[in-house]
Amino acid sequence: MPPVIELRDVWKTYRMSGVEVHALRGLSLTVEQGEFLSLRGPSGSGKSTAMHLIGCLDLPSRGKVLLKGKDIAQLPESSLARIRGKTIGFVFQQFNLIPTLSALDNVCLPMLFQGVSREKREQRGRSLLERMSLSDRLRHLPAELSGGQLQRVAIARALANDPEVILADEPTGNLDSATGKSVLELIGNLHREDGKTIILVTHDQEIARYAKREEYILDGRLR
Amino acid sequence: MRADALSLVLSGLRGRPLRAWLTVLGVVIGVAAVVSLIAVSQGLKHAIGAQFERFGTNRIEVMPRGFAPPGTLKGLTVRDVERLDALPEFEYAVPYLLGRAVLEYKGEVSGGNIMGFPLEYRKQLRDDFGIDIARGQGFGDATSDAVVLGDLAAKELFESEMRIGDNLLVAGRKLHIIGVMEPFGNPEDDYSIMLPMDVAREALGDEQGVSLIDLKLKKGVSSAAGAESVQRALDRTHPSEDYQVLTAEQLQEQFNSLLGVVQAIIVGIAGISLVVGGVGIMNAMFTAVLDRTREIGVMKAVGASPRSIAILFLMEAAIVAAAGGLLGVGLGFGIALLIQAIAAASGFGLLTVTMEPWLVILGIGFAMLTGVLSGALPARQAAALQPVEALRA
Ligand SMILES: Nc1ncnc2c1ncn2[C@@H]1O[C@H](COP(=O)(O)OP(=O)(O)OP(=O)(O)O)[C@@H](O)[C@H]1O
Ligand SMILES: [Mg+2]
Repeated sequence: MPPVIELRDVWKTYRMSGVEVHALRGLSLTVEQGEFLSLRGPSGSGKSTAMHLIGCLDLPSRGKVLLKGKDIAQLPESSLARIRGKTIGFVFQQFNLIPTLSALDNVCLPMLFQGVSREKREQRGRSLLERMSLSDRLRHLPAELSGGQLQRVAIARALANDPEVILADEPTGNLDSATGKSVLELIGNLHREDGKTIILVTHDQEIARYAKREEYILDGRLR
Repeated sequence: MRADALSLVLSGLRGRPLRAWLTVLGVVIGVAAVVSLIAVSQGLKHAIGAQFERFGTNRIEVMPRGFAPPGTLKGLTVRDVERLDALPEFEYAVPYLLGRAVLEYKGEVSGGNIMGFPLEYRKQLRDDFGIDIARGQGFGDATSDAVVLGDLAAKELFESEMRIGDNLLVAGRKLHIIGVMEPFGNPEDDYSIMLPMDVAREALGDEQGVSLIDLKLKKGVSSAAGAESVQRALDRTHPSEDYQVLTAEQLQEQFNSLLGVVQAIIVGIAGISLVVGGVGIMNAMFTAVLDRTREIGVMKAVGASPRSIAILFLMEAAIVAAAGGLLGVGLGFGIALLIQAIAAASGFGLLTVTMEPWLVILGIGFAMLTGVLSGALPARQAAALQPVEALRA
């Protein structure tokens, strides 16, 4: 079986008003099924860029990004959308919830795009929010929730379609340390209890230690 | 997916109520303009149709040519009437004399439109021209000092409503009010006061003049043939053609072509209003795409395909347009009814607008079409956004 995620000599180059910026310079990384990996590096080292490529939100300038052996650059946008919906669960630093939707509707959104029936969606959405200890916040709008609650809603949303891979980009970056810790516990549980493949992006050494495997990125490649 | 998308779009709209309603308002104004204008023009068409039904197709009118209030133009005389009366195409020729005269009722003085007609034609007046008496009596067995009042003349000319049995002074001559006519639905007729020809001649100081000649065609004679005969008879005495011959067909044609112009203008205004509404939707949708770029990025990150995103935005445009269409149709008919009420208050009781189903469908349908067309471009733009770039917004 091919590795879940494989990056082969990946370059990502942005051209800004004639100047080329290399966000990634030959990044190679292999992640096996069920691994819990942290990707640590200073600001601007290319962590988010790498996450976006793995999450099919962007395509590499050079090199290959393989998901379960498939080159994402060869797939049509509709297949990429399906992978983003079913195989990957994203947790962002800024939570990225839809402000006009309730906590429950936010959690159900990924299922909606996969054509899951309303009944099944709501059932699963409720149980996920229950797992995040948010049963009493189902109908709340994002503006009515605290940072820790928002990130727990976002984690529930990432789990909606039971994806194999969870990508968490600085998930505690906007939280105080106690709240951040509980969020990290939840993410750790996804690895231990659900066997999810997890990549946790951080610039913080202590947070990186939550993972089973630690990688360090600098200037767009692993060190 | 469709029903789910709908609820998604609705909660999006509910989350930004002011913007949503402002966009809806843009459509409402366009559709209301279209619907009210069309409803009123339809009502106008019916009113004119009703007028012609009363006029009848077996009549021809001859009157002096020119643009001026009726009764102020001269040119035709009693000799013309005699000449026309003798023509074999017609059963009779009735002359009228119209003008303004000083009236006095219970000591109050006012001006009014009087209409003199020869008493010997009173039977034809009732049978052929369908003039119905609402109260009192017609000229049936009237003496030569009788007047019959138009509905509005009776009600509006003087402080107090004129009553049957009372006296009315016309240019100083004492006359007897014997009846009031049913409303015609247009102020010109409803404000008139009918009285015997010799009274009118005396009041207006006009011995020979005629303002209008009413001709009744014999059975089997076409109005075109009648009109031609009139022309031939009057050619010698009126070489300058200072008169005009009107047949029902001609009149209807004239009105219809006028109405055609009016309706073309309305269609133009309607088109412009809809385009304005459409531009409003397009602007709102482009703003929404800009505004929600990040949301679109999030939706893409959780698995929305370009198609789903496009559907969401198209649906939003369609919902806004449908709401605007629905409210616009309601408001449009409201405005039309208001115009009807105003028209009725100023004497045009003939104008009635009806809520025609096709107009409802047209209003909402055009709004939806505009919405979908205007939403298409923004929806495509939203669908084509790159996920990372959208998320960065
Ligand atoms: N769209 C873009 N256009 C131009 N340059 C970009 C773009 N996205 C990222 N970069 C550049 O690529 C480099 C890597 O950015 P990236 O966001 O991956 O860093 P990061 O490791 O996530 O940093 P941080 O810890 O601050 O989030 C940076 O120098 C950044 O300025
Ligand atoms: Mg980053």
